[in-house]
Amino acid sequence: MKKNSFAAPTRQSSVAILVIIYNLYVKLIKQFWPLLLLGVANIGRGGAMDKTLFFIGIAAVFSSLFSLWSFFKYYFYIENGELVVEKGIFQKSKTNIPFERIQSINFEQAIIHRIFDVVKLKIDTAGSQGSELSLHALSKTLAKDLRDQILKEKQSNESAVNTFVKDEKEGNRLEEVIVKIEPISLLKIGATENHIRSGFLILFFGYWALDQIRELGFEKQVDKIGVNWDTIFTNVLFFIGLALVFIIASFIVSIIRVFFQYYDLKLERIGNGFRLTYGLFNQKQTTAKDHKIQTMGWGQNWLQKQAGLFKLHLKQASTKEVSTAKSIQVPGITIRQKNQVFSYLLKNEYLLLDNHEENGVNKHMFYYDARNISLLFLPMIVFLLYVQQLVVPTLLSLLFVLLIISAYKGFKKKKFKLSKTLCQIKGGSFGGKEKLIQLHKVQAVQIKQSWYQARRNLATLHITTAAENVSIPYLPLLEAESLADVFLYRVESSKKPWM
Amino acid sequence: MEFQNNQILVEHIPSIQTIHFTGLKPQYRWIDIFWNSLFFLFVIIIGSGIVLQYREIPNDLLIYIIPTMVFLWVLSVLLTFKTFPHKGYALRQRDIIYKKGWLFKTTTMVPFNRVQHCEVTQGPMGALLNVAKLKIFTAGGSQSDLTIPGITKHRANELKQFIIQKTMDEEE
Repeated sequence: MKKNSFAAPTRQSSVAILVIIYNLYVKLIKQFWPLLLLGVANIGRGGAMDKTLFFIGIAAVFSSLFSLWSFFKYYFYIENGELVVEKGIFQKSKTNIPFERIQSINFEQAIIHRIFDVVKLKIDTAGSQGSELSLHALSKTLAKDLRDQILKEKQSNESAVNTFVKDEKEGNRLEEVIVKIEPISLLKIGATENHIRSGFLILFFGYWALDQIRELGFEKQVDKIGVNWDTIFTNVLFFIGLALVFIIASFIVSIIRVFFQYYDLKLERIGNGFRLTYGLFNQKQTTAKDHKIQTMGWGQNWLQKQAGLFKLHLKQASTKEVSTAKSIQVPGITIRQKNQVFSYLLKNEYLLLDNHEENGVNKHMFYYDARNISLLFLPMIVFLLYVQQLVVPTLLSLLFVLLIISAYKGFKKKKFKLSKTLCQIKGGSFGGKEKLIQLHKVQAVQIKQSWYQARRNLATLHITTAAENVSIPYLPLLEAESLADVFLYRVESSKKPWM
Repeated sequence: MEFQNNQILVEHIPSIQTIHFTGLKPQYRWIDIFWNSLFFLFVIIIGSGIVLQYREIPNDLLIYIIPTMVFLWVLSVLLTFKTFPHKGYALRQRDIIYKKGWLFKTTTMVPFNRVQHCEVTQGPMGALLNVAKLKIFTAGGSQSDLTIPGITKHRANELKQFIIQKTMDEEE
């Protein structure tokens, strides 16, 4: 087969029509699904719902036709060392991307791509956000040809600038697949997720759904479901039953959520950076170069501690708006994998931390929390007992004890370590967490003293980096000040690039 | 030049405990007081307007609202005077330090080699009282950005020049 030279305008694979329409429908369904659900449940009964469905249908058909039309108006080709994309029905546009500005060419496959064995081609360019280009669907051979063609011309253009090409090559070499999560382990990860969050999700969602249904004119039906809250709180058995159902539901929601979000997760070492790929329906990919990573950390909740799993974070410098997109978050990794990531990032610096002494914080960290929790809960419990309630104060007391224990454990686990190049801060209550900052990446240092702390000559040290702020609370003021001195000294005497 | 890599003992690192802070211009307090007063006046006028407008709200409520607001107003003025002496800045060879707060004290330290850019601003009130504001931005976001209010415009520009010079020296 003759290789396509891409000199003539080429269309995407016809699967692209499906991909575009699929993306469109996913977007529509995401926004209108409660309406759709209600509409489908009430088909044929007439009234407003049928009309709404009808209009949604019309809109779907029109947008599909529109996608079809725009597909035929979408061409790409190579001309004078540039990749050119022409598109548009009413508003025509032509985009030229010079090869030397292309940083990386990636293939991505969402579930629909896998079904038809095509790939999405993503071209990242040097420049601000949104300057990347993607071709929705290309057959695998065509995509590979296009990539080879671009890389070949790019290299011959830049043969003079040898170092750059070498850099580019080394920068994208796959060194190791550090983490690869199989669907079976996803179940384990889902089972150890934070179920409280899922629980709140269910509560919030249930409340919202009921509200929506009520608004659409089903008040009577909803109010019939409405339970008698008095019986719930007086009938202990019923309450326990309800709580059990709720816990199981939270558990299932967690597992499903994790399964969709982290399906086929892979963390790879690429050149001098990391690449994370994950997701079932929309596969996502994040890359982070070592020097861009500002803070790193790992943590585990109580359940994850039992299973020996950690969640790893690598945070990159960014503004607040894109911070989640730029941070690498890997659930369900083992100690060995975590150490592997850290040894890539920090070489032997991480091991050298072991030679340094671990410091704790002042006990007033616990006293202050315990005082506030008591001030909040004890009067409430006493009052409710006084008015002869039983179930609610019992639950509140349990929560009170739990919070006090958690505050105490939080104080006990607050530890920090400082080496010549690193600062390690440990924390957590029932689980555990740890943060690492390279000292030369610190942006500013702050010493804060509340009224409570000032009377006891204590202070909290805040350390700011370009990705996040971390703090060491309740240190003796003198210690906080000398720590600040050390941080400033390390930053000011450092010539290393921090970004 | 001979290569040097001497060990630094923690005791020899310059300490922030010995720093002498420069206070802000006293007239700066009046800007704070002016804006606070404007706020409370606004709240009192709007609040009274609402109460008088709606018949359902008893007018007697004003007897409680206005004194409370006036009390808070006086409190804010007193607080301005009380916190003022705690504000101050200090310049060292390699960093700039600003402290503030009476009940809740904060000291922020920004090394010059982490400064992104500086800005001098002066509002209409500032022009009237001859005070300006120096803002120093880092990549660390709003928490670590440092703002020194209540210095003369001349001083602010001097500081800005000094910091920019320092950051340029560092890059060489």
